[in-house]
Amino acid sequence: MTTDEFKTKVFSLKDRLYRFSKRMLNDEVEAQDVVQDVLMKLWSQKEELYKCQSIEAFAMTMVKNRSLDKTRQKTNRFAKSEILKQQFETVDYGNTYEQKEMGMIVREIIGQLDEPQKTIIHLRDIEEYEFDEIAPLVNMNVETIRVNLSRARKKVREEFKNRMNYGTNEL
Amino acid sequence: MGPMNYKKLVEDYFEGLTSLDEEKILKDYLQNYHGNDPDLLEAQTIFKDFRQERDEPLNISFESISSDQPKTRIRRLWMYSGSVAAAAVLIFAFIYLFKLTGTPVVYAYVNGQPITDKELAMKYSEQALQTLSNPLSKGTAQLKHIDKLNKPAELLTVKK
Repeated sequence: MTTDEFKTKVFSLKDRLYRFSKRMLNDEVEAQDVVQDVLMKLWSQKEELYKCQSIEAFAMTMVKNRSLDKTRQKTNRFAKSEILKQQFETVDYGNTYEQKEMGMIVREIIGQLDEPQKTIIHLRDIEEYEFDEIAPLVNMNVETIRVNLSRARKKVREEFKNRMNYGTNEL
Repeated sequence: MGPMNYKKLVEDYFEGLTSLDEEKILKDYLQNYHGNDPDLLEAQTIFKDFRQERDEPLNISFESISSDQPKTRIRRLWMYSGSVAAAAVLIFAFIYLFKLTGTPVVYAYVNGQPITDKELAMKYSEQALQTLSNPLSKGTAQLKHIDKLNKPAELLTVKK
């Protein structure tokens, strides 16, 4: 693969890869590191990339795996502090409405969904993937993905309503 | 398509039954929706965030990933070497400053004044010791009669 081809077919995916990693890690700096590592790896293997059926799917899988590794490392190292942080954030919802845009609240709700719902809703609603493009990334069939997507969207809607009602009651 | 159809589309969306094309139609409609239907407003807010998130770019250059030397490794190496260099600079600075501003060694105090010259301190010490030893030698001269006490048997013999 030539440099120009790499730029067009691989490097152009950087934003998409970054968003995906950031969604999984909830950390911009670490997501940036993950994407940079993955792109460097792909660059070093650029002669082999023509063998891939879908470079995008391949790159997304690499980002997913690296992000999961990072999450595991993070969980092992900072399990206790993370739990405390999450508890703190949960408690803090009440006074965030005045400071945060509505959109940020939705983003926060999605960030707290369990896997694979978080990944599925991200790939579908942010990246606008078809179900059969999501399938290899989460190792599920289309029907299971659809069910998980529906649950994820309903949870987002429900939690959003709860927070809005809570915010109104507070006022 | 009327508002009721969009409401139905919203319900289908939350059930996971819509296609990407239908979702695009719904998102386009809600982007410019100014009504007051709570379900549509709710979906509008959620879609607005999806759109905002999609617009967030990653600012890295192609050169940063295509150079032979991995950037992250360079950064880590810089971190380590930088820490070592900073520690070395601090140690040298500390030693240098200590040499410059360090207090001289005080060998003795005479009348409350510190003596930092070794030779002078030695002379003062000798003088002080001499002064101390003179009255001591005078004092022992008065003790010569004490020898008699060491011979009690002879004293008894004289009395006989």
